[in-house]
Amino acid sequence: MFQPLYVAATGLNTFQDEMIDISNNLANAKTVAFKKGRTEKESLLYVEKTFDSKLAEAIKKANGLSSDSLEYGTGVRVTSTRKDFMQGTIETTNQPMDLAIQGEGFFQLTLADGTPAYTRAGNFHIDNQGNVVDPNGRMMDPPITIPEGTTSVLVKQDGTVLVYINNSSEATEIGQLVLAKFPNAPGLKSIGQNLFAQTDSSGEPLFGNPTQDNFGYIQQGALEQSNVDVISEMMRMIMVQRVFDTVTKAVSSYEAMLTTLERMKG
Amino acid sequence: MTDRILEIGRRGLDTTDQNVKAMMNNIVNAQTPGFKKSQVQVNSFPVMLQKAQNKSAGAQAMVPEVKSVQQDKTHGALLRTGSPTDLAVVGEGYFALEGASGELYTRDGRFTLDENGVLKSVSGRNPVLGQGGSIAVVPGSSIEIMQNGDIMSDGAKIDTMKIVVFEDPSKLESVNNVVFKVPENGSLIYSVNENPRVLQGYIEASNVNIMDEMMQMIFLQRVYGFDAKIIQTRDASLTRSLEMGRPAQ
Repeated sequence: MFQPLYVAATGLNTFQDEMIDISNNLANAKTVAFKKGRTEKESLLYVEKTFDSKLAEAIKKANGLSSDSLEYGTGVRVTSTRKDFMQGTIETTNQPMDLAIQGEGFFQLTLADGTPAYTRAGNFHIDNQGNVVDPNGRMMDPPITIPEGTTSVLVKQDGTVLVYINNSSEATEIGQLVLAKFPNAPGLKSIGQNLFAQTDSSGEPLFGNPTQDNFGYIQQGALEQSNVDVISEMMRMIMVQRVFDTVTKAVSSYEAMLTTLERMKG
Repeated sequence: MTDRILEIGRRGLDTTDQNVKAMMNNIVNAQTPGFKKSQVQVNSFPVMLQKAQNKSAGAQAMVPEVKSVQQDKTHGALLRTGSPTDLAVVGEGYFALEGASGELYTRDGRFTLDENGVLKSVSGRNPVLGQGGSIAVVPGSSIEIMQNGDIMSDGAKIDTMKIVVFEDPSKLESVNNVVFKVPENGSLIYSVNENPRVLQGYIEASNVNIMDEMMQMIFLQRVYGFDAKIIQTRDASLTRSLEMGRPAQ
């Protein structure tokens, strides 16, 4: 009894979750290197057969009739909200410490508690000790330190970091950027502030220098933009809203049917 | 005593109720990729009449009954996602998945690579099958699926997608309207499509049409009202006939 109402509830819950995902994507349409979320929905398994339907099947079989299935689905649920790591567009900023990755790699940072975190956002800065840090002051791993008296920094496509000290015309190599990539990047956990953490589903990170394999190359003086496509998110919003409305209509329709039933005995 | 007219009304209500169950599940899955809508097959009046005529008179009331619930296997629209592990079958055929007890079949091509580089279904439960078993790439390497179903990883062909074609897909047993299996003791003729057409970066949308379901909703609500009216009218006439025998006051 009332099964349609439970089914409707699973739908309303799912669409609400999807709306949250869409709003989050839209809010981050201008966040550096933001990766849009995708709500993966899955239709629910059938309920275990009731005694009635088992009995009906047995009777049909005994009478030599084909026992066709009489099962109904039980709704929908969100199975995962994975990230879509499609490359975002690269926008030139001409800031020497803005680095964009064209490819699959991630920068590795060290969190305050010493654990690693991964990011595609390359808006780095130099702190008062000359360390290359992200906007929240987290150091790169391996750390890169810009020596005192540096007049300009050059990051090559392969991740080699060169500096010119005191207007000298000779560049000095001070470090090498290392990128990480994952067997299943969509399985990474988003931990906020543009950072991702490794999970069982993402697998162990593989390290390599830029331009190797599919790690991608570094573009200095540019930033990767958010990969959210505002128009398709708006379309998604309209579709989710329409289905949401239809479900509520179906609920009131079912309710009207129950009222009919109630009033049958006047 | 079972009153036959009351029974017709009751079974009518029951049939409509079952239709609502299927309809509600269709609506909430209007946005679920690879979903195939359920349709309730009700035996019509002529079928019931024929049945009643074949049996001795009165053996069977001419009441509507739900014959079966089947899935409409028409294909949904293809949607572009751009994700390399999203696949869609063009034309007939199903992707084969490895299930706990035998192969499963689906047109939902939202796959993911797991931590070991194995291609799995969206829930992460079932490995996707190629013609040589489950598909695995070296962790961290790329995956590319050509239109003819060939699976390439870092430029080398590793396998071909297993696309299964059924002679009569309506006989497939539904697990959740997205994933299907061959029914127990069922004989289903199927073959592996040697020249499949697979599109990478696309998924197949649900085949539920919200407008159809809305029309169905209006229709069901009315039918429910009529069935209730049958019972009410019969109830009233039974009351009258009871009153007939009562002495005048």
